Amino acid sequence: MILATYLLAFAPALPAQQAKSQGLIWALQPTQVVLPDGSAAEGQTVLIQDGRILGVGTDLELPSGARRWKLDGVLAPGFVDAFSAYGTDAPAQEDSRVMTPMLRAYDAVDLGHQDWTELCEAGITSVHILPQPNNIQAGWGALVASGGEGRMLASRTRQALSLVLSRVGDSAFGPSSLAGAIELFEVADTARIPGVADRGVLAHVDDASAIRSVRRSLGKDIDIRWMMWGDPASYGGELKGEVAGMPIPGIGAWTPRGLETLKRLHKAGVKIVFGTWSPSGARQPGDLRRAAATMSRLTGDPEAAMASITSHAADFLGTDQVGAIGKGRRADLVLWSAHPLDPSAKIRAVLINGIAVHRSADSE
Amino acid sequence: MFLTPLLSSLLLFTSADTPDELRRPQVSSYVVDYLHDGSGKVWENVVITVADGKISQILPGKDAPDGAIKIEGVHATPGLVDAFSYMAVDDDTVEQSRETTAGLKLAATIDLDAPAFGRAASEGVTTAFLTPDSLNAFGGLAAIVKTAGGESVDLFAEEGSAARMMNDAAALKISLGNDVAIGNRGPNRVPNSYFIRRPTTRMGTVWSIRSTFYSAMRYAEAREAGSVEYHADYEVVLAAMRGEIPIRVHARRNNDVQTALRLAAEFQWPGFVIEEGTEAYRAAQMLAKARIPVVAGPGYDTAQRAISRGPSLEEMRFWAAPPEICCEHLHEDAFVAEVGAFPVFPHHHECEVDGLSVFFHEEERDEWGIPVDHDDPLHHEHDHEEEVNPMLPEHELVRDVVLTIGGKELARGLQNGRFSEGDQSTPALPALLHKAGVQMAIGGAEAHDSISTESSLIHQARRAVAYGLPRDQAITSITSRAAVLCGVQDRVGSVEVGKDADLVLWSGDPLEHSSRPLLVVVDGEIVVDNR
Repeated sequence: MILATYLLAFAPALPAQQAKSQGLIWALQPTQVVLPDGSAAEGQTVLIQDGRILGVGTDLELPSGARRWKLDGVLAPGFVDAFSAYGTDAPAQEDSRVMTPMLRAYDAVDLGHQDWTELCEAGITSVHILPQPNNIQAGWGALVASGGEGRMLASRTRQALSLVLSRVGDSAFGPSSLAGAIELFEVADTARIPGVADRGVLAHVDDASAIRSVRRSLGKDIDIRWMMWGDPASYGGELKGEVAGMPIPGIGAWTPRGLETLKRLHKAGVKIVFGTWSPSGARQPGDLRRAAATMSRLTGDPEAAMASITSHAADFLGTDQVGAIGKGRRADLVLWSAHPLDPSAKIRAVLINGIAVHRSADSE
Repeated sequence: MFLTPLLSSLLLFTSADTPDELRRPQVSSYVVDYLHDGSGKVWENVVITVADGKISQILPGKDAPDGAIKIEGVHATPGLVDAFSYMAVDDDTVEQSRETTAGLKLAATIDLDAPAFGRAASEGVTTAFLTPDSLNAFGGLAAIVKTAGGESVDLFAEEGSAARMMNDAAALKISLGNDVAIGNRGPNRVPNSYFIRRPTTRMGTVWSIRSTFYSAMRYAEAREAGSVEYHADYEVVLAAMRGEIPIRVHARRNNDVQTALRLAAEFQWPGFVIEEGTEAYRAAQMLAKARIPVVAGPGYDTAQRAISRGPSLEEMRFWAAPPEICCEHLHEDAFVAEVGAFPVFPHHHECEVDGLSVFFHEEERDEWGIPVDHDDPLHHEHDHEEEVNPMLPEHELVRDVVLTIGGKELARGLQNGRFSEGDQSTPALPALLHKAGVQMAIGGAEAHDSISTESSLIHQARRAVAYGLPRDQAITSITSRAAVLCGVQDRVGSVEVGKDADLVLWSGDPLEHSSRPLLVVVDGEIVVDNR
């Protein structure tokens, strides 16, 4: 079990056992804290209680009874894997119909899966499992914490839509074309699916026409986030200012054009989000941080790079519970030996919901 | 006082810092030596003034206002109008799982960043009628775009290079002929493909169209009674029958053209336009009598389709006007008037073009389409009369034109340009239609999809001239008359005060094959600058 890897260092111990730590306030004082702007600041205190962050700042008044710990390292928010198939044995898809809006990726998740440990060890504390984009209305995503208790954070995040023809096309019944897929989608009235009005949608697209169709069909009142397929450069101008997921190429597979695309998407104001799932197969959990580090180097914008695997990723799936060290968020925190966008940084400890679920050998 | 130098330096700085503003002025004038106004008339020494995207003034003379653009010897035309184009029409835009997709808007899925638009603009085409593919009986709603000036969503594209939508419901496309049946087949044991359906023949295609019209009429009654839900396809068909949306019929063969005339009478269409019309010259008298216009397809479209190996620019330029160089007799009216005859080059015309030795030869084929090699020892000279296949009339024996340079075969099949039913296309089609009194425009079809611009709209017009079309008609058929057949004559197709400022400045007479566009202006903005 994941919970078996309790922290032994930092005597008297980091908040390791929930029962004992109930109601207690912990004041974590790491060497540095990664702030929402991506910078690492010194002299910060992070207050946590019952798995939540009470506050963060330099001049916080410590409540009476708060236990203070100095931590050696950089404390960063746990990463959010914005689109993932980890923790599932079979892909969450149902090919027998074109429309499967009631499908829940939640039902494909195995909480006892070995993947979760690996994710924890890569600093990924929450994972967004998506139904496969093989259906025009593909079903609901699920948000799962990679460790701790009460791990199903949301059983319905956003309704996944897909207008990626290579996935929704069907040689027996159609559609054969993007035009046909758009026609089926626009007739289906996605806005009327219960839950869509509150939770919004996540649209898989590979074409500007598909983006316009989703906007046209859903109107302004429904939250839309995007998942970019194909060549995002060919339609990126349509996504200015929007939050959009981008699959990570395999190790060493960033092509010059791919890098230039990433740069131009960032320049156009697209809020890029990374995840471990990709059309050509799952990436390693460690690739998530690598992609953000690449983006940071390429764009010179560590804020956006950090957000791509934390706050923007949380926004992508529609939650404000995770993705930043901020008041009221879940205490999903990772202690690094250096800034997490520094490739040499190593993990020292992982806290999920305020509980230490992993610590590395060198942290002693 | 001391502010003045500061201000002037500031102004200097501003103007030096914004070259784009200088390139795309709000008001600009063009001094041209010749103006082809689009109606067929040519004016000498004209100053055209453009303001806020419209033509604001046309004055005679050579007096250039300050800042006017003046190029020596330049000819101006309206931006060309491609009245039948497949620019950016691809698999994404055609839904093949049904035969009737009348409600589909091409505009909804067209890629406005497609490179074809940029190529068309650089060849002087500023407005294009984009027609849905001919693979469905009802292909959906056509669109009209300006080929430049749109907002680009491609992050690697030049700003302003994308096309811009003018009309997203320009016409309802109906297709006749074998294209609709392509891929369809009869049922096998388990239907496992949407292609297992009718039509599989030309007759089936007409059945499909006819039954859709009857269904639409039944739907109209049921809708009146409130007993059916809204049906996008039928609503579009009914709107077309009421004359609210123009009808475009894609017909290549003579019998398809005649079928279109019959369908129009049967369902009382308010009017329609024939598209491509490869063999429309055979029904030219009927079309003239019924006052049905034709947008003629190209004599050939792309290098890839017309010929297996693409020739060089010079070779294709040569091909664009071959009679001027070596086949003068093709100008003769007698040749053109011979309806049904296929232009055939005599054996081995040798010419010198730009130092290249080029000749055509007519390749003889036997009755099964196999090239005849008289030097082949296995080839037996047969008595012609005995051996000719009685099913093939003599004049339809396959002959091929082969373009060779230095004895090496470079291009084959230039004479028979297009695939499938379009392969009988002839560059004499516009001349034949005009002669018969049919209202006619020239379309480029896939011409601009190819990187070799030598098949573009202006070259189609030049070829039509070479095959007997009067020069003024060649210009109007790609400008004002093309605009009329697309229903956009109020905005484009001629150089008149109040019309959109779409202009092309050519290095010489636009119908000369050596002329090229120096400046292309769309809505008053310079989009192509080859000065």
